[in-house]
Amino acid sequence: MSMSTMTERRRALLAALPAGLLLGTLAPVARAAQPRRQAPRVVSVGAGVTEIVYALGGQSQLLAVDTSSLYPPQALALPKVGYQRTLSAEGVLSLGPQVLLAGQEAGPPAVLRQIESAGVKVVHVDGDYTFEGVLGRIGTVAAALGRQAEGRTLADGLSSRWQALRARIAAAPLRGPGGQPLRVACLMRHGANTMAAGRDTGADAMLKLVGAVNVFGGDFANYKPLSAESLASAAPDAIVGTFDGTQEPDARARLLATPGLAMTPAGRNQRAVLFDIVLLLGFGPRLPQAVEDLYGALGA
Amino acid sequence: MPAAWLFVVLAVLLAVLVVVAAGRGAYPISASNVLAILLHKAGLSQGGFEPQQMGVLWTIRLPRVMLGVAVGALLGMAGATLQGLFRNPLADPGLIGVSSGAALAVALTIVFGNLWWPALAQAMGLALLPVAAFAGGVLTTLLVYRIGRTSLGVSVAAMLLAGIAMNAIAMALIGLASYMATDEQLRNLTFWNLGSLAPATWPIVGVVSLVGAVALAGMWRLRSGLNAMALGEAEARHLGVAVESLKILAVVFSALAVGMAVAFCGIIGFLGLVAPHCIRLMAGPDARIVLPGAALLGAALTVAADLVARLIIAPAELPIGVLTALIGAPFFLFLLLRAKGRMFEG
Repeated sequence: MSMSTMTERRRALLAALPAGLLLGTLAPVARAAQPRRQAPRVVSVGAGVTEIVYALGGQSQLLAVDTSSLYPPQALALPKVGYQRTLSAEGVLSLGPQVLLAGQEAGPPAVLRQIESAGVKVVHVDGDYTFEGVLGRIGTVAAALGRQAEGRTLADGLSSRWQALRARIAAAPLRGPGGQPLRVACLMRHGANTMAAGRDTGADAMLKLVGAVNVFGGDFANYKPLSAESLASAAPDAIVGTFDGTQEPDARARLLATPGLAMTPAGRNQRAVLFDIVLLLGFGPRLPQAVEDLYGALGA
Repeated sequence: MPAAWLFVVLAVLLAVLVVVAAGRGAYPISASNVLAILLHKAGLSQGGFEPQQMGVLWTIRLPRVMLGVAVGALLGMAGATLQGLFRNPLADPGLIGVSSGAALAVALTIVFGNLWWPALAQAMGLALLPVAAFAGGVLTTLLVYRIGRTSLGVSVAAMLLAGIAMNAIAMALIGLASYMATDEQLRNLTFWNLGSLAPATWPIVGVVSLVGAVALAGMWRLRSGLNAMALGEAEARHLGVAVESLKILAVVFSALAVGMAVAFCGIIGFLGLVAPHCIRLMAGPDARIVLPGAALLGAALTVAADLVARLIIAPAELPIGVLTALIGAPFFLFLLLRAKGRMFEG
């Protein structure tokens, strides 16, 4: 979005403030009878939360998002309230929302408390790395937006797609060269370092959902720097690499060049797939699609 | 510059910055509404503004500006005290271990708090980090002081070296904690290290002001002793200064001051080092001028840095630690370049 449209948006917002004040003073009775507006305006914090707002068709209620909300592309054009863990109370309030949709990582807690004390409803959109977690988050966001009907439609559609997908994966599980369940490492590059996903991560949950085994799932929790030797000794059958936003042309070649990989079955068979990290770890309404894509890519 | 003029200029600068900082922010509140809200709070008038404007100004913005004044003054004066005590222009509050001790305690609390003492962590809630930071900072400083103590009294040189070693140990342990941290914990830690005035509330302003007033008064009482120390420890003793008690009081009061700041705002770098130097470059080394001058300048720089942090990328905001250095360092370099001919060539 260009600077001028942003200023215009803000100006429109400012212009709306005195009007709202006037209405508030003229119609106190009407307000008391109908305390909450039908379509509350919201600020959405968290990539998965923003995806849910769009999937529910609630984008007209969306005032701003955080910097992690990269999907859908239209979200990029909205004003940004900054990094999700360091929100600014005044910044969020200046946009005039009635509701703040706070994803799991939204914070700091003191700022959320300040926002709440200024009369904005803070809705925590929590839940784990499961399909049921996604359904729960959809229900929470739908209720906060006043779009319960859309929420039920979305959840029903996703559920039937999910059941079919589960059946498909159970019927044809991913197998390694020896016929055992496919053993996969999920790697992320941070500068010169390669980080591997351990247990309690979104990547670990995704591997489980496609019926694969995370080779580091038993070794450590969270994401840890990985040495060439530990990658070689873990001997994954396949690896999943990630990219952020746009995929660089030589990304796959660089993933295959990860030190130690050449000594593993994954390296020998060139079994490496690249995945958009927002899709892979979003755990939003695109979860069935992400699982289907990952299952297909690893099975190929 | 004559001292009286310097104080007038600094006090006016601080007052102007406080007024501007109270009036400006991401949330639009016109100057007349700011005045109306303040008059309303004083019970002199009512109405003329939206309730949410009053909420933002009174519960979010004003405590934040006031916390900036208090924390900046504490860091500035603590820096001046420690530079005087160590007779070392590179001394800053980090040197006696306050900052690194606090940072280590915070790192351990963020990473292991819910693992080791879940009940305690739950019960303390938002107070957990400030208490951990304050305790960690003060305990580390006392340890540094204890290491520096010899049979003949406290060796300032030994304390300096012990402080450097404690910093190294703390940094290594923070590195270890970072390695074991989850992504979320790691980022919380990073942002704590960059400092922020965002958690400010009136109770926090109250605690920092009360404890801070004790620390500021304590440091101010050391002014003649610190002036004598500038001549050398033996000379100070001959002048009748109780050198040993001066040392412990300087350490205790500056640890108290920096501990308060670090506890609630994380690490706001650079102020304690540079504010006293700026005053010295402008008005000479007399502790009677440098101590209050550094407090005033520290407060002004903090309020200015926080104002920029809040406005520059609104509705988001930058960590203040980034801006204190970005605003303070060029100002310091300017003073240094201007004074260079006088001080080092003449």
